[in-house]
Amino acid sequence: MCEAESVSLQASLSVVGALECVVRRCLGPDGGSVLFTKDTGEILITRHGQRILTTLHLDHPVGRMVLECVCAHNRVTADGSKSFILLLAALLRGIHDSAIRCHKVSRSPATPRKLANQLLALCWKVLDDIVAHDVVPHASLLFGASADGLDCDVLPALVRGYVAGRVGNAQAEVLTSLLCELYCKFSQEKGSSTAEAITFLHSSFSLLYAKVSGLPFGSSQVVEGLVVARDWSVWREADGPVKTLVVWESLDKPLIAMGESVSICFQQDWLLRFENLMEEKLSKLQSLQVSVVLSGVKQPECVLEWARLNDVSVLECCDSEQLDLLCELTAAEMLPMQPLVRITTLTSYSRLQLGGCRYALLGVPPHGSLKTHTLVFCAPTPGQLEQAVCVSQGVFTMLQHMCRSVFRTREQSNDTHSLSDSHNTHQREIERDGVSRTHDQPHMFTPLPDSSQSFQSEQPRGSIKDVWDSILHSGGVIPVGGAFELLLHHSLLHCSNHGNSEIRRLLAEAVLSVPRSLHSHRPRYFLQQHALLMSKLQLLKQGHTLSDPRSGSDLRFDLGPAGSGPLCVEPICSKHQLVASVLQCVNRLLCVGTIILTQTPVHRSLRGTSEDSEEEDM
Amino acid sequence: MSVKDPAPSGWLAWLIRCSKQVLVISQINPRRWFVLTHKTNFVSAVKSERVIGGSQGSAQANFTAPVRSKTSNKVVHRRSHADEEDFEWEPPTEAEMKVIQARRERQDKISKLMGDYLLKGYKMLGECCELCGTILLQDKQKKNYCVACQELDSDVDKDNPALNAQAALSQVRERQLASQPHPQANGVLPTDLPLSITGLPRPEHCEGAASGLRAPIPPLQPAMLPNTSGSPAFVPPPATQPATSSPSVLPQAHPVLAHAEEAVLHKLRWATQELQQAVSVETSIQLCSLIRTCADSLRSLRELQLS
Repeated sequence: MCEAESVSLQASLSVVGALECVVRRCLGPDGGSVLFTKDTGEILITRHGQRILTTLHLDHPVGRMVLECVCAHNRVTADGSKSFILLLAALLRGIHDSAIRCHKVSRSPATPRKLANQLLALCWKVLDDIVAHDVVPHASLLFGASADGLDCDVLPALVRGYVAGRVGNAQAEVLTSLLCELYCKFSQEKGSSTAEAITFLHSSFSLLYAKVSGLPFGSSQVVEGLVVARDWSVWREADGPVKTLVVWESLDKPLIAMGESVSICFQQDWLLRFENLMEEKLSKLQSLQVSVVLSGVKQPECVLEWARLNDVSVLECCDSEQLDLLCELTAAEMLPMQPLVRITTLTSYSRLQLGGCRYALLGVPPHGSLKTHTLVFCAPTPGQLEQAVCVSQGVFTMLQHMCRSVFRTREQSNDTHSLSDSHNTHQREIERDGVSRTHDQPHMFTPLPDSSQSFQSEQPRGSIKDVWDSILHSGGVIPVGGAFELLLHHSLLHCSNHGNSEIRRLLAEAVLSVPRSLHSHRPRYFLQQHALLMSKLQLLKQGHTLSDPRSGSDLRFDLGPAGSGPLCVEPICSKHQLVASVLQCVNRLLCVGTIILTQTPVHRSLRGTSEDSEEEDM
Repeated sequence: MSVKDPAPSGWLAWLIRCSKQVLVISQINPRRWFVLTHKTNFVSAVKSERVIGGSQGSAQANFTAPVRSKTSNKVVHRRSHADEEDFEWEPPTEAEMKVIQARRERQDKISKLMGDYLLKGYKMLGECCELCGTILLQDKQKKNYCVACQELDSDVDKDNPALNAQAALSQVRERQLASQPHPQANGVLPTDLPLSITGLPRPEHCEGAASGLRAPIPPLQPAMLPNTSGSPAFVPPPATQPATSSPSVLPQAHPVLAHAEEAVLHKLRWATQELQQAVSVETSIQLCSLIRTCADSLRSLRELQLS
């Protein structure tokens, strides 16, 4: 190995090895948590991979690069930060050993970088095919031949699989049921074949929850409507739909219409004129028959007085993003000549007592097929609240990523099916070109002309109940605990028509490091499951069918005692994305030729560019 | 091809020119045959016994090209495509395996220590240690710390009897303590051991040696404790030590001397065996120093016996 190559590989190995030792003990439901203490006395107890890694002090440029890659991956899938580090470490070690061997056999230079480039080529060209043809079909078979009679719900299994490794067992059950309830209540139609609810929840979750500290976790609930973490300044009870005024600025500011000119002059009776102006404004509001005023800022006392006199409820200091969301959900209208005021209709409004505080609850009319609900988190300590919120946000990110990729593959397969039709119109030719391009670049989104309607494409089989069923039947999910890694390991070692065998062997060995660490406390069980899976695959290859009428998965990789506990699954696309991200990170790390340290201060933010320069030896 | 044999002529020459890889059976000994490649000036020796079943011959070539001689049976096929990587994997030899294994274990230990320190709040710097190349850590007092230099090697050296005479002697004393029924707890050999580089005592690593030191001192003089290079680092916990320190104890009975001599001889024998198997220079140096120390001990014992 030439010196420059070995420097970057050695540095990467040391840094990633240290990070691996940090995160390995927090992996899985049986992993521990890390307790961080600040100098101010605050403590943070977490087992969230990204949180742990970002809290460590890493000034090494390689460490910061790895951290950036982990954060970028986490933004997409919200999953797999710890597995990322483990897989990265195993790959780097494999490359190191392979490079030493190659160095002894042949004196060819630049071997680690070549290996990294070959791994990246495998990622772009071969990995998709392997996952699509060798992993996905077996994944749906892992749920047994009784898929038609499968009575497990995919959504709770998915959420449970995600949550179980991140919070304690008792909390996991509560959180799973809460999140499933939130989703079910949000998407009113049963059997919806769209993922609109998931997309909405993913984008707006930060505005759809309320935190209550000091109550036990079991008090968490889903309430209908939008909860605003403020109490009413002026409260008057009323029922039924009410007209609501939403303002983002103080009402005593002169409401100047756009385009009008302003004349400033000095007047003796300015105060009187001002009061007259206010009266006019308020009487205009009264003429609108508004019963509720929602304000993003604090209103002056005269407005509150007017509200008390005229039976109007006022809610001040609301979060402006929540007000924006409310206007979007209720399709609020803008008042003429007043840009910062909107008028809308709410179905109801009330006061909510949660713990020791009062909150405002606003009833929101249904928006399309979505009915607004808010998730109220209760926990004894603020730290647990943060953890619950973080995990819930991650759940919806994960679901969103999964739905998007499943629909994308379904579109692509629909398009390839339609291509085999005898109708070869000009339109089809255009679509064919689009699809063939995207096949080469699998990670780019396909801008099909009718993408918005294609989500509601025809159901291939009559037994598909809803979007989750279709995901299950198309092989979008796999049991947790290492099934994906085992299948990928097997496929990489046994498919002989893709890529370089040495590279595939390297990746296959590295991929197994994650489930091994996960099951490090019971290696025998892991080996048994491995052997069982291999024997099933062998049977399949010989043409036998897995005719096991048991419902649920044949192969249970539960991390509790084998065979017990509810089913937990994870999306295949997340694992696929993880492998692809790690291969890209390896390539980034090993393309570094020299690390030059400078004396300029380093920006601490993750997204900020570091002043330490890393020259890439192209 | 750079060969000393007379250049093949006629159709053979044409064949050699055309082909990329040639199997040549030596005219001298048909049981030896070689694979030659044009582009790489490289000769691989192929044991003929697989095919012909002949006796093993040494891989002597009549060619001037450098010969890679492997000590075990290996078949290496070389492709002469310059752009094709050769990923034929050969199993490494036992010595290489040991080295690789030792290096990996060391690296794993360093990673584990570094991970622990990161969790304790140390900062990982972008600089490397000048001595060993490990990444430096910095504590909250802005002091740089290298886990390999300051912890790993000293631990290993300190407790391993092969590499530290002190540990060897403490093992001797422990054995004597076990063999004698009434330990007379008087003596603490004055130990002017240097403090660790960090200045922190590490009592959890010294219990063995400390208990050895607490034992009645065999008739070994204080001069028997050389400080070898790279040695340790510990300060025995002062609270647990008996207060008195007597420099030497006169020989009270012959059996004690005999026992001591036997123990030292045993250690000498063991060190010699280890030395034969040692692979690294550093280990060998340390084993030699242990042997020298044992020899000094024996000499002193004999003097005592005679006196």
